[in-house]
Amino acid sequence: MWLFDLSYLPFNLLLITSAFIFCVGLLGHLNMKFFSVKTTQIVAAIGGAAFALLYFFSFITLVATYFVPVSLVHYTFFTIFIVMIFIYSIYTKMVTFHPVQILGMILFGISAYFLLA
Amino acid sequence: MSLWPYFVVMGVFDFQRNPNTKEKKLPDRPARRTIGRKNEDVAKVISTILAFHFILYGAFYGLIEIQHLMPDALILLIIAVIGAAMFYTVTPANRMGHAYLSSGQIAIIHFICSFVAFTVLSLFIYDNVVSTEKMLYIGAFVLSTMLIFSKKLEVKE
Repeated sequence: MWLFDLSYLPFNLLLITSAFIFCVGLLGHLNMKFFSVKTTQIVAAIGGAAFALLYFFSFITLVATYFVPVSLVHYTFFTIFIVMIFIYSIYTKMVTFHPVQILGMILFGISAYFLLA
Repeated sequence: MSLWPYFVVMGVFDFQRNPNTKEKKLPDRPARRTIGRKNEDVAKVISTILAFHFILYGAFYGLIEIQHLMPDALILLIIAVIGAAMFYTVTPANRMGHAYLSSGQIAIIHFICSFVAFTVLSLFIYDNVVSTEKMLYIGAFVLSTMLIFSKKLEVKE
């Protein structure tokens, strides 16, 4: 799988960082309800600018220099994003390893492997 | 369309239920939403997030296609402005949706809307037709995330 190829590592790390910012931003502004919507919007805008720059840089490099297909970069970004939300959900006990959720995890692994392979 | 059966199972569209049992009750903000307002809120959240992804990816991938026409500094500035403007727009929708859905479920809405926007836009911008096999994997991917985040939101009074 291209994601684990060490030659792509510096740009994959950027992709992972941008997914992390996206994830932290989403979870952060949902959980910090003591801030007004206006304040949250301003903080989200700053985070959004940082995210867009990182994603743009890693995307351009992976597509133009390494010839990774556009769709593959996009799917990878969202796979990393979902995995991060999943880890957070285990922490908050939204994912409790119920049989249905375990089935979902197995299906997630198989489909993510074939989607990114 | 894939979100619809999911929301039916999760009871998001169960507007006949007592509104106060469905959303988190914050100390200084009692749950006052009526059934009609809930209906409107959910529709607003989904349509705003879908529009957000269409505009974001349209601007982003469109800009990448014409990047050779502009200096690098200008491209970076435009990208930063697009990112800031879009996240500024989508924040109220996320906050509104969180009254009825967990963060994992909001992530799924983003994820599906993003797939829809990307697939449609990449068809026009990159002539990138998604094969039947890929569509099958994407479907399985979406289904698996729905199963993972299938726990209903617990309401703490």
